[in-house]
Amino acid sequence: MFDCKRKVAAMLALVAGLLNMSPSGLAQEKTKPENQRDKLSVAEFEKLHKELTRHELWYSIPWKTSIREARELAVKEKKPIAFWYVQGNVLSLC
Amino acid sequence: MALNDPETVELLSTKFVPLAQNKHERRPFKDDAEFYEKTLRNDGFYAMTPEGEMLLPDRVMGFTKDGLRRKFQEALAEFDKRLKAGYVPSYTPSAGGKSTPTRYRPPAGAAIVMMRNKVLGYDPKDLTLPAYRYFAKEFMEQTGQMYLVLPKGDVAALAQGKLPLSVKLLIASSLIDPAIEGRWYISALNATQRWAPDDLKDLRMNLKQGRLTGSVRLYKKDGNGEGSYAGEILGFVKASKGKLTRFDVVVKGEALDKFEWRDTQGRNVPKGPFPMAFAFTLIDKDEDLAKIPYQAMYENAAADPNLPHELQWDVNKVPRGIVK
Repeated sequence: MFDCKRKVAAMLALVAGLLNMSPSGLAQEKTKPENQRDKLSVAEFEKLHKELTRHELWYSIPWKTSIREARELAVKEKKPIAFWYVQGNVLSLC
Repeated sequence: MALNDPETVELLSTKFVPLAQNKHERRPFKDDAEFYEKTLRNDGFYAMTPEGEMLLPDRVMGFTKDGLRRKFQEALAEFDKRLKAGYVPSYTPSAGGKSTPTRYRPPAGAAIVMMRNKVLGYDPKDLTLPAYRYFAKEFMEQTGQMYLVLPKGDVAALAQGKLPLSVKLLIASSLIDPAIEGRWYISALNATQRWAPDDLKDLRMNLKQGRLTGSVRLYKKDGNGEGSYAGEILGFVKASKGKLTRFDVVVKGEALDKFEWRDTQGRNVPKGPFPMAFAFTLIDKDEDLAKIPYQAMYENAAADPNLPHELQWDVNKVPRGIVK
């Protein structure tokens, strides 16, 4: 009976130890805990949302994403094609 | 960015037909592939006739704003010279492709959300990779972008002032870097590097009278190292006549990247915790929807951040009691 209790206690200690060393515990040590993080104010929300979602100037260019559509329009309007192609996410090109 | 020049934007918008494609995009028509093959198949800008002839001897890449504009002006002058000499542009599409969609169509009743992220601060000393030396600062400060789908049921629930679990998880699971190389390890590259359901350690989100508030904490550990993101959430949701008209959310917090993994060029990433924000907004204007690629650009369409995706987590794998 005693051995059984010791085993249970040892297992509980092991579990508690594992919980203390859990990934979330490590993460909390390295970034600010929730109670130390600043709550987002409406003013900050507005500023960040505007900054991140605004379209940069080049985005206003009426890009075609289909070669066929671009070629058909170029013939119709007698214009050359400015073909921009990149590797990876198009927005990653600087 | 050299393209962010008012004169160049005007020039490309009015005197050219601007075409943007990803290198890995699948080209559905034989003549699409032939047109693409006529370029040098290397990243950059090409000025071409509709037949696919190059108007400049080389690609245009790595130029200043003035340099880029001059190159397009040269190309336009060459095209006009050919027109004056009697050249008539022509193009005969290859057969069989007319029914193939050339535009992304959202599922019926669904709403498309654009997510963008941005690194808000970093130590310039962390920009150490020679491969990125010319544009390391711009790359680090550039917003990443990806699209998400709010399914019909979620749209209806939000319009009624409800916040479904699937919407909460869609936001949490999307706190990743759409730029799949060169920056944050937690990226849209593949399932391994995205957050997994059991990476979610805490998620509190509440929608009350159109105001969405909460916090989120994520942590990942794998064979390449460990990293985390913890942030505060604020958003505004509105509906009019039963239709969702606003879904604006910002998540601002701290990220940590202690992963050793390198892609082909290596990565520039802040060494300690760094501030990063994410913003979500509805995309419903026709001209914006038209810019969503209609086909996958990568081999794995399910992971392609350029295509809108619904929640990709298995809800049953989210640890119990984590979401409040």
